[in-house]
Amino acid sequence: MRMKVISIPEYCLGCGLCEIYCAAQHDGFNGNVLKAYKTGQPDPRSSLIRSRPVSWFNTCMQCEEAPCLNACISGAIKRDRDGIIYIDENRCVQCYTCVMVCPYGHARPSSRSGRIMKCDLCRDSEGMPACVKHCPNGALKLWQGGEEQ
Amino acid sequence: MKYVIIGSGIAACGAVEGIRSTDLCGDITIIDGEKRGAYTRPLISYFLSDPDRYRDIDYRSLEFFGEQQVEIIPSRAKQIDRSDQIISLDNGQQIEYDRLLIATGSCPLSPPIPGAEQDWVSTFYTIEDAELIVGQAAQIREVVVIGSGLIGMKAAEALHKRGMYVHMVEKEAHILPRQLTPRTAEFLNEHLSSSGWDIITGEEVTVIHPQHKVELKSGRMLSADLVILAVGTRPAVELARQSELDVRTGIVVDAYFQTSDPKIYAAGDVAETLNLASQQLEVMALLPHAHREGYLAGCNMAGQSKPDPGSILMNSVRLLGWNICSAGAADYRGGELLTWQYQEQLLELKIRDNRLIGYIAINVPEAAGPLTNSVSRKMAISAASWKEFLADGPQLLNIPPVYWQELRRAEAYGSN
Repeated sequence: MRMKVISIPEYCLGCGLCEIYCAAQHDGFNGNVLKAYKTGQPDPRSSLIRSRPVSWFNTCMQCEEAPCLNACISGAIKRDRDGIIYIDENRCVQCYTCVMVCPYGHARPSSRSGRIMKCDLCRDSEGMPACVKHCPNGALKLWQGGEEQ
Repeated sequence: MKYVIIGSGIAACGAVEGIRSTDLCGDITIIDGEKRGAYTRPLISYFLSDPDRYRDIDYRSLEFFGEQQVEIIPSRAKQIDRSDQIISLDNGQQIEYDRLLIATGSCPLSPPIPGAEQDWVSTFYTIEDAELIVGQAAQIREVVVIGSGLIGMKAAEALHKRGMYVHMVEKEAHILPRQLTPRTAEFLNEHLSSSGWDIITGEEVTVIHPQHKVELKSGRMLSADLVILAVGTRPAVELARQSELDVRTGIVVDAYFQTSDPKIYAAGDVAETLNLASQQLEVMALLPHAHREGYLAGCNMAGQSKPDPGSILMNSVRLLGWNICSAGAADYRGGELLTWQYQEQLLELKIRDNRLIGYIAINVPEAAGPLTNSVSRKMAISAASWKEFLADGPQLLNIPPVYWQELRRAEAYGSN
């Protein structure tokens, strides 16, 4: 079954909480926003795009024939049993081929460390992805197969 | 169904995934002529720079092939008997096939330079090439790299990282001649030269003397303990030619990767596929294409009907900490070139008839994906919009809004 987080721009307020909770859910911060932002180096996996007149959270579409997965020169980009495309950071050589081929501009380097970041649907934690859980206006939802929208 | 794949590279891995997306029980056999498994060639330069860290450069692991129930035979295919559908291997084995994929890749060109046959002159294409250099590395102080394409560049970078002095000789007027424009090449050249490389452009090597001297056309002599030949590659079509399949520069295939024999498919560096920029069938020897082509060929071999939509030339490479992305047409005659520069960042957009036809981005990776996609889909986005994009700063959030609208129209982008 294919899953992805989708954005509903009509409901998006552009507040950016999605980015904050996304960063806090990764890199061992376990969803602790204060810890991530006060003491750590938070790196949101997806980014909020404000493109006049709309805004939306630019998440990974977990494509069926994924350009990033096809293009990865080191075999660092993989798909797990749930269909989630993730990065094995130990294997990544930061060639940015995935960045070059992602039509959504989703896979992108961290401005801090240069490592590649992409949405992994919070696969290491229980329940809904952090962005969906914390969106205050219901502008994000987890799509789990079936009809779009 | 018996599937046989000749070659164990990227296209072969793609094909395994493609076949298994449709057929979970057919037999899949890979004939691994190099006998080194499915490793990724671009990583041999990383191995050369740091063999301990990059010991494992497998593209897909042995567990992967186990899970996919693939048999790997470490032997070279000698002959294809098309009428009986049997392949003879050089270990004496004979293998039957119902569907065959030729994924033999490319091989390095050897330039006709006198002295190029000496044992301190090497190509840089296989893991074995890299291992041989690693074995002699303690005795190497100075190297000459002939050719400044991607292979030459990555070899030079690895040798530089090991503390060797690098001379690079390029016969064209600037480095990375197939990827860069004069200005972007000059920009990168400064970075590499200031790191200590001796880059010589518009020059040719005429003789490699046994006294460890490399002579250039101008008469200049370079000293070298090692010479790397990196003057290009060609598709490995010998087997296809010998089997009398249609071959031009590469193996001729239709949109479904079928060769002139309907039981035989070809994909990856060895096949000619559609370049959307030139609308020509060309050998586009690039790793991302090899995987996609292999995947589609695998799907089609297993009975699906998935045509190749075509692709464009594209590269992304890291050189001494700099990222260089380029895609699309090299030539923008009749169009215009928009340029943006800020400190170590340089971006050139090639625009013709209100379409982005190519770009070169040095240290501006963030928006590269939408740029590549604008080129390959020939999206109608005006020069004025691209000028605004550059004026606002070439970041993802400044991509012309019409791009996102087009994307939503074209596919299930999740939101509308």
